[in-house]
Amino acid sequence: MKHLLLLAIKSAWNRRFALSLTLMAIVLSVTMLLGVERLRTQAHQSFSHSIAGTDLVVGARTSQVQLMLYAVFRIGEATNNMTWDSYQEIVNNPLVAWSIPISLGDSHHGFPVLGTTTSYFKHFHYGDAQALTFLQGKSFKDTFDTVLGSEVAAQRGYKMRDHITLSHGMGVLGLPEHANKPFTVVGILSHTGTPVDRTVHISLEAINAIHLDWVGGAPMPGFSIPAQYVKKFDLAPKEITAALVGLKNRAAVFKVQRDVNNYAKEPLLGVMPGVALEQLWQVVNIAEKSLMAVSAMVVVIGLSGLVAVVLASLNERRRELAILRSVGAKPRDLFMLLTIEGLFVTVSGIVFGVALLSILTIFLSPITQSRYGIALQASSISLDELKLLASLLGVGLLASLVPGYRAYKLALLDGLTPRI
Amino acid sequence: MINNISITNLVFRYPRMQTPCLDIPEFQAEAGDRIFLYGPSGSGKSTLLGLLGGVLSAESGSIEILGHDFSQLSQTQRDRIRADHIGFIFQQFNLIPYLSVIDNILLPCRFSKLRLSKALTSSYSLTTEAERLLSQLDLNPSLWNQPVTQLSVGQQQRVAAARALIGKPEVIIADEPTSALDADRQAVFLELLLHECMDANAMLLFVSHDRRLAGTFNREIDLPSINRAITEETA
Repeated sequence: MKHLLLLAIKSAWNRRFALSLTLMAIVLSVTMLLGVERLRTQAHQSFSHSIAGTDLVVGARTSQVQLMLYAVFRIGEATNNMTWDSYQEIVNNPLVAWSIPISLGDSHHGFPVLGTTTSYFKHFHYGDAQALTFLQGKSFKDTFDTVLGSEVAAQRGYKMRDHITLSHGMGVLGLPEHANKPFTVVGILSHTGTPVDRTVHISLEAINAIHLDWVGGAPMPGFSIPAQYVKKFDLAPKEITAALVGLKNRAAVFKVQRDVNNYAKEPLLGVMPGVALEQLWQVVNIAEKSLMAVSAMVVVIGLSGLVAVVLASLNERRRELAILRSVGAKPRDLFMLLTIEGLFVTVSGIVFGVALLSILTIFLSPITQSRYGIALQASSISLDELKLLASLLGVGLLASLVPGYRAYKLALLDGLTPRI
Repeated sequence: MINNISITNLVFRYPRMQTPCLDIPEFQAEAGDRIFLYGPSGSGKSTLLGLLGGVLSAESGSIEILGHDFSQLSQTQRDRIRADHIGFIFQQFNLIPYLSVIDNILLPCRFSKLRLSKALTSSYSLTTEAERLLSQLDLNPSLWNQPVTQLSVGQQQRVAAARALIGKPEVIIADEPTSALDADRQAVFLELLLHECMDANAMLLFVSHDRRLAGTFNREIDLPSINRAITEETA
């Protein structure tokens, strides 16, 4: 058995140029299949990891998924805000235990700026109901204080007491700056693996303060209110983007949701994060399924190529098979030899495919993280992935049986003198 | 005494053939026999080799190799007898192109434990045994590490002979091993082969259509004359 394995590997190596193309197809198909699976599970994980303990997300009326995407995952932008009065009215409901107002719209070097209250640091939970913790410093107190997510601090190299300025709107380049109102870093949060890491947190008052001298999304020409004077103005928030709401009793969630959705003074929407995520998965599911189907087809193409190449080579190898028989090989040995050869290529394809995926993950992770909020990890192979690989190996084995069987037949037909 | 090869009333017919292509009433060969088997094409030579190697099975009659009756054995058992007791040398393209010279020679030891252990009794390692055979067959040591595809046909045949001889099988069957060589080399190769078979006390069955080579053997047999299937057909 061992010598057959060695023989098969040497034989495959001898045919490496012919086999390398089909190997490449198998490698790519493995990468694709595993990549789709990994992207799927990590996206699911990443999204459901991002919020915990929040019973309702409330915002101006839009689609459920949309509201979740911008309020929790900072993907896309809100089209409408809700008024502060409506927010107050909703959270004054005796069923509500806590709430976190959220005001979005500004950014800092591509990182979203989130206006909120100190309630955020107390009540926001993620993962398995973990609270936010401070790596350094503490919550904001003064108007121009800011608390950074771990990745903002790490990527930009910010330390405590550093000064940063914010930009108006979302994006990376060419945004007007709130240059005259620098913020001081007073706290840096611990790493969470959620969108919080990429968020710059300031108070709701600060959001108002930096927009005091702005009109219609641009600084008012010839008019600037220096930072030290902003406190003379009324900085009480008028509008927020959304609110995260926690209830005293989860069972009341449907009642509160109905109240929000039926709110008379303005059109509002309340969504349960779990339900909205489920909706999101349903949308994404079709895409996932078709990607998986395409990957599976690539696998089939790769393996058919393998069978074709090994079968084509078999006719030139009848002499070789006869020699092996003459030195004592049984037809069964030749069956094994060819099957192992095919299996060897499949296994190499799987190994290289997994390696390629890990390399791709390392390079693509920053992009998926910043653009889509999905933290890809070059993690070890999960059980589901292992099952996928095992079935791939199974199909590879089945495919390799074809040349194996052919070699067996040739061995019986040719004996010691191949008819070439 | 058990004969190395013993054939009685052997009849073989290919599937869907009317007449048998081999019908040998009797043939015996003993240890020490150096047999020149004259077999022109069409005389059933390849079929006889297939039967002796146990890859074909007879319709009736018996073939015994060292007393093992092939008609009583399964395919797998016959494969084992072949691996343990018979060394083959073919006309040309005897070697596996992707194996080294030494690995080619050692192939029978991979398929037969008996030949493995016998090879290890004559040398302390398999490689030294392969090398011993190569030097006895007069293959220049500078060629031992060459890819087999770089060797000339004559050199390849010596490697093939070393492979047939390793692990001291009792029967060596050579099927036209010199037909691709020129006359001088034929003579040299033949002499080496006979000498080595003598040394190993192996029976040699040398099949050829070239009667000029027959002189150096101690028995000469005409396949057409012992094969009734041919005589009846040609008569």
